[in-house]
Amino acid sequence: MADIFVASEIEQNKEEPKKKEAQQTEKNGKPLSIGGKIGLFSTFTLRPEGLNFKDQNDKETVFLFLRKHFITNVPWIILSLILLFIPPIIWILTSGRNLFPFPLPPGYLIIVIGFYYLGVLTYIFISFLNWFFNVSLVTDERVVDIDYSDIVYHDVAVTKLDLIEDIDYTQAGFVRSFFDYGDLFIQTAGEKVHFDFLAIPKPKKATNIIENLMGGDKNV
Amino acid sequence: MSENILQGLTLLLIVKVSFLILIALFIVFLFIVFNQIGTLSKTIEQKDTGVLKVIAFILIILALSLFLTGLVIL
Repeated sequence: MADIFVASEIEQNKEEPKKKEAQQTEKNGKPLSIGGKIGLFSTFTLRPEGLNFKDQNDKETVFLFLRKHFITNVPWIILSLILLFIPPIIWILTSGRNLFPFPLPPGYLIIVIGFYYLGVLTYIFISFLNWFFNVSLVTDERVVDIDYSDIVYHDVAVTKLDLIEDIDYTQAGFVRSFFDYGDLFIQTAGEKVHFDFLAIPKPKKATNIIENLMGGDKNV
Repeated sequence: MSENILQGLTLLLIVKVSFLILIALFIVFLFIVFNQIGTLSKTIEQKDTGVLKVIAFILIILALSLFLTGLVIL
């Protein structure tokens, strides 16, 4: 009789974390990608699967994966669309007349247009890369901030959770409040004093997770 | 008359060489981008970085095609 009770207790304990995960997933009616796979457009993933970084320790677990909110890409997306449509609009407005001060052979026009569109495609690709590789990670041991900009610059900053002195976030403005993203600032006692996670989704939740990890609570 | 034609040809030759140099520099730039993607993929291993490498490679192929086309038709 007593054995039956022991077994059901164990089963209950096993089910508890699953229930907790399900509750967190369904919070606000939106999935939070708990134990989630990281795709090309992931911005906030708890316990990401299949993610490793350089110098990661064997027992180190990544708890939080952050990128800038996707809405921050809107300016370059709009600019790209404008750039893509400029040549056909010019063509229609000028009725196919030559805009150059001297007569341009047809071969040159093909190369000019080809080079223009290649430049636009490269601009789109590089803008996406700038967003894609600007990643922040929070593990059970440290905070990792990878900054990437202008193709040739990338910086990897790491600080231990023990060295974090202060953590706060700001979420000012209509757009930021509407799309729920903001800046998270971490002040440390390490070599790099400031860690700024800019325009990340759910900054309040991210702050709570880091605070919990600092307190040794890995049940985030 | 013949001087004008010569001037026109010289101008077109300068434009042609300028274009080819520009595209060649662009190809070098794309190789740097491709290399950077490789470096950053090692820094942080994500599943979908392969797609980005493929896109970068396609851009290099397109740029090389444009260079060859320019070499032939200009």
